[in-house]
Amino acid sequence: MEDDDVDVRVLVVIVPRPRDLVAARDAHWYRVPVARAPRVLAFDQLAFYQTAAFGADRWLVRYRAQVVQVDVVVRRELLPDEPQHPRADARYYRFVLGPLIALPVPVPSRRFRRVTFIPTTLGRLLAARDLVDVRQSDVDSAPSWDGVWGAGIQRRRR
Amino acid sequence: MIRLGVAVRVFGRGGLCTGEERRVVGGQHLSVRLLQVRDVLRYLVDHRIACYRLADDLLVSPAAVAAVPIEREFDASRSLLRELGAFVCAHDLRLTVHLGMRCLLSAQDAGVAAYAAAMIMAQARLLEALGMGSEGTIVAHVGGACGDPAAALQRFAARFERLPVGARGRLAIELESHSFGLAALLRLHGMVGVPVVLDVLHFQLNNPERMGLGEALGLALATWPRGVRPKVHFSTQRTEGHVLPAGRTGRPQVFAPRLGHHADFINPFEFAALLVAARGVVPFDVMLEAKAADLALLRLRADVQRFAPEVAGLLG
Repeated sequence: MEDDDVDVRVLVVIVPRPRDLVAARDAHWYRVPVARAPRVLAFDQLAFYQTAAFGADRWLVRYRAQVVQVDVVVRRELLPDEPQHPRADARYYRFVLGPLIALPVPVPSRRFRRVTFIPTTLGRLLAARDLVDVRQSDVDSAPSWDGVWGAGIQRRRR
Repeated sequence: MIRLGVAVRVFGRGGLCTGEERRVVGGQHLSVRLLQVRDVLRYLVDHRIACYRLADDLLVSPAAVAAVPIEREFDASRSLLRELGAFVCAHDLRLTVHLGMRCLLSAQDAGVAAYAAAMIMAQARLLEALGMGSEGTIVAHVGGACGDPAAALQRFAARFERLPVGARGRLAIELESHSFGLAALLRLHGMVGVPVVLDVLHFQLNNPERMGLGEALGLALATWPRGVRPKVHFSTQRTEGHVLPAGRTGRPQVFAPRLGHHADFINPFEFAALLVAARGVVPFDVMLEAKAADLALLRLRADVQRFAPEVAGLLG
């Protein structure tokens, strides 16, 4: 599969501050606290929702990146300049990323400002006109291999 | 208490990646595949499913094809392996592996047998890294009969004894539907002590001694070492035909299902018979081999409660 296949699974994640996007771009990592990680965390790519802290570039998704590798580290290892931070010993999933890829058209969030983790696909992300368009139901994400079902059971749409 | 397990696939939660549908974009690192396992395990815990068969290709990556040593990926994944291992221990999960049909320790070809031994050792290492003690079982078929089953058993026994202790202690052999039945595997157990996995459907298909299920179950369970929960496989024979669309003949063709082909779900009445046979024996785990995987497990729990409440209490 090519990395621009529309079925590539993408997780929209939040980058609270510009330095978090700098880390993704220059140091090629993104972190998710182990204690607050969503139930489904394994995705092919991450797409980065930029908060109000990004000024004129706020409330939109502009970049995505391939997930190359994952490990678990403590915060002080990720942010060595904050060794006394209250959560310095907290554990994080560190996603090692490929280069940032700009979306052809950034996806704004005109209604929802508080975004956490949104599972989607690359096809949905590229076609979205607003972040609300990228959400997918469990039915859409359920597998539909005809060969799996011995009796030819077809997936039902709700 | 009999615990139920699912093999590889899960359908009950969208977005989970397991074996067949695992995406490969330029080659997935082992850690990315382990994160997929993490997601599945969380789902299983949510549904009180205690046993899970890992995909046998978890350690085989395109990187291996590109000659990047799996060793490097293994080392880079240590922190995630520890994280997963802690989760497995905290929730008392049992992770197992089933080797592919080409992984034959009994093969006449020494190269094929060497590959099988390498896979067994690699899978043993993975299970250990995931926090699995002795119940992290690696299930294999003996295979390799090629007209001389006695020789195949001898080859298996000799190569089994050359495996490192850690790998040898995890290996178990499964009844086959056509060649090595229970009697042959009990002989192999007598030779080298390898435990036997009773696959109930394979037993029904390959039971020349006309042994009863209860007796077979007792004999198979007795091959497992003290302190290790035995493992049993259960499936229902598919009865739906396969339909080939109309071709040149102008008529669709219907083919009977192959013997040993698994049904989508589990026949609860057949399973209740296993539970009846299990009364009074040591606790064991049952890996359900149904195409609907976790959906079949959840349905079976409800069905047993409804149709065989007198034995439903045996189920964990």
